[in-house]
Amino acid sequence: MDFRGKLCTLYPISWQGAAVAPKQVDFNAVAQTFQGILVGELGRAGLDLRMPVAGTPDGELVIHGQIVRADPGSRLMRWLFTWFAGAAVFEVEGQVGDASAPFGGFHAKGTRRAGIGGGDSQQLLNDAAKLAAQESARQILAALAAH
Amino acid sequence: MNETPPGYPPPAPAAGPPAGYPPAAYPPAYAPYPQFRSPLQWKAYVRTQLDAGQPVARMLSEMGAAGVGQQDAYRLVTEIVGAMRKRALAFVVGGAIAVLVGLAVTVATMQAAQQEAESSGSGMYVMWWGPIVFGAIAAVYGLYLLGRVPKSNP
Repeated sequence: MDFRGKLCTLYPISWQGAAVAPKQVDFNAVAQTFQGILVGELGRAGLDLRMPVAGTPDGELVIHGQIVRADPGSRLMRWLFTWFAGAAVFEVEGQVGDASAPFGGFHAKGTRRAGIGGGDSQQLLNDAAKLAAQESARQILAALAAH
Repeated sequence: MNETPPGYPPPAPAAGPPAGYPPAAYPPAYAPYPQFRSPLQWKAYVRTQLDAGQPVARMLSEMGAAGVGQQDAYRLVTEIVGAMRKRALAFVVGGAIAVLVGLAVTVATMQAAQQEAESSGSGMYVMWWGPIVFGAIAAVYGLYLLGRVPKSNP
């Protein structure tokens, strides 16, 4: 499918059912980072992305996503056992489809395991979200191209 | 209100909790409402909760309340408990190996240095304390994780 220029409704990433570690981290900022990178990557690929509007039908293409896990990890563990423990993880999954039914899916996980002195958990989780967004965009575009 | 006639036992209390108490249910309602999750989300959520020390029974209860089949729930919990045990053992074994490697290098260089000192009067050895210290910490952490793995499969 040539999806360039097609109207695509991209739903904001959902927190419904997500496993969120109870840490002092701004998870909303992380979700916004993910959404921003995803919008940028998909827009660069030629999709005409729109937010869903209540009461109006979705575009030709629809992308739904939900967060599976958002864990900023542990700075102490990263400092003690770099690469082996305490990683910051941001994992998402979702579906790609047209207005009637999904025809593809995506599942991406961004992991950051190291930083200076263990690394700042907020920054590492943001970075993990960026990685997840880039991988999600790649999988979404692959699903669209294969349809 | 009808009073109990004399000689009769008092009527049984009405079903349900006394007024003012939260509703009781069996199994106890741990979660405010059943949460719909995808299989991946359940896996991540149960792993997070078990890592935090929540009991297995609570996880099974939550999954049951959310409509997850009993077999699927048991299979998921067994898989996660196995993964937790494997991770803990990896820390114990990896830490022990690091300690042994650090000690082996230190002892070997000390022996070489001793021989060199006997022949030429001086010798140098390496005290490789990094693997020894961090390996010991990793082994102890692994034992701690092993202690937190749920003891018995449901």
